[in-house]
Amino acid sequence: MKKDVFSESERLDSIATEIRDVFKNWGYEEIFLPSIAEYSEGLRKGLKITHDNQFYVVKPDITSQISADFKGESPTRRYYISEILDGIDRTLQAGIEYLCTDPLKNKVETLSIIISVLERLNIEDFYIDIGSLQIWREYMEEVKQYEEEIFKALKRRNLSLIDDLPVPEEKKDELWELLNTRGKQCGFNKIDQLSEIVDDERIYADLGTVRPLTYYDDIIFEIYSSRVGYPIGGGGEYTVNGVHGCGFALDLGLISEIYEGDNEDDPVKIRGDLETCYAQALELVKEGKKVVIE
Amino acid sequence: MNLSIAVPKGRLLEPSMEILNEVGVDLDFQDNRELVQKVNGNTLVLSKARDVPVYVEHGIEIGIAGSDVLEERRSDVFVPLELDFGKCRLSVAVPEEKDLDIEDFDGYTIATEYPTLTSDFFESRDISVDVLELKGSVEVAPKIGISDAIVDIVESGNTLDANNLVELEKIMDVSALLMVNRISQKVRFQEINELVEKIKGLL
Repeated sequence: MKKDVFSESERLDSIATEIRDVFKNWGYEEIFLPSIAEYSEGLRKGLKITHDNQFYVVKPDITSQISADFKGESPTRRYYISEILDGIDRTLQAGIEYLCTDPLKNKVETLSIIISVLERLNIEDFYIDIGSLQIWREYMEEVKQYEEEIFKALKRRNLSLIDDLPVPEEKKDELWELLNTRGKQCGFNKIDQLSEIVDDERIYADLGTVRPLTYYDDIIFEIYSSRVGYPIGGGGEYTVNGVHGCGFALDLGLISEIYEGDNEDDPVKIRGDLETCYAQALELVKEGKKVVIE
Repeated sequence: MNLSIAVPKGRLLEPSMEILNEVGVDLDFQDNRELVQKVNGNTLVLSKARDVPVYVEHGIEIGIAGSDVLEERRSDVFVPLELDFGKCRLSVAVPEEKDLDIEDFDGYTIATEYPTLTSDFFESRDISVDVLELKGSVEVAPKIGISDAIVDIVESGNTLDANNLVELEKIMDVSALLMVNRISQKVRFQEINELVEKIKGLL
């Protein structure tokens, strides 16, 4: 059965309104990007099309699009609520990108905003795992030739593949230990420092969090809830034109599955003749109240 | 342990239940038509093998199914272990009277339950084929003339022999796999790691 677009839109509108409000409260401005971008190697996802012998990408990943368009102003705080395509698969995302000269500040701010947004949506049972790509890159240095096989094993947490890797036993043990490093602290300063500053019991250091996204430099985030089988969002840090960037995106389709509605007052219902109705509605809206003309 | 577990009906059911019972996940279920059962605090989902990865991807915590169905469904799940049963292979087979080489398959129609893996295999060899997706008994297709070849699971080869088909080339080895939902691995980190280690100890 086809989803009821109207009732789903009503939920998404409610979610998007709350999220937009939080982003604005943190000083972020909405960015409106073109739906179609000229193809470039840096653009990720999107639907690739040709037109008049030119290659284009429809609704690509926003971080890669912002990176491609960023001209070096700093600091820059932008948010978006937009549909992203991956081939013909679509996801409605809400996210931020914060570009500044202080790499610690932008990660702390990003984590704080994730928490703010989810709390505003009354989603309290979430977790944020922090991982590090740099740790894995350092691990790979000695076994570079098996990088592809190792990443395949990592992505699936596959012990059988790890056992079969043609690398020394101590490297296998090291890999298994890294993959299972999870807790409030992990012994890696960059991650431990973050979870100390953003002191929230739902933040975990998890080196097993691996996202094979080329534009992330090191720290990555995975956001999830035990009520959904998939991560509800993710993000990480990157560099664009020498400026540190950090951001995250939430999947609003998945957020909608666990969103239980807002706590706002019901709208004032007004009925009667048009002139009186709308005059009364104008006054109430001016006072910041919600109205519905019946 | 209060786990939700998806196991496949059919040839993988018995060894799957055995291995789970051996590591203390007691799933002595009622052999009736009920497909979701509560057994000793665990939720057992009895499903078609090809649907197990999909259930695990969408929130069932643990599942067992063949690598063939996982690769066909492209499900985003963790696969901590390859198990030591359900061993077979996915192969291309043709009617025995046809003297063919894979490279001659351009324009052929291939009947299969594995359209994604079949397309990937022929594309990787730069051979253009039409893929005809069937649900079971694909050996019938070349017999009645609606396909030139099949791509199917081969275990002993007896089914191929009985239908006058010969195995031409192996696409992949197949084995039963233990699958874990990505979020469950995080939320129940310790319990699931212990379970995986116990199963690994039996292999």
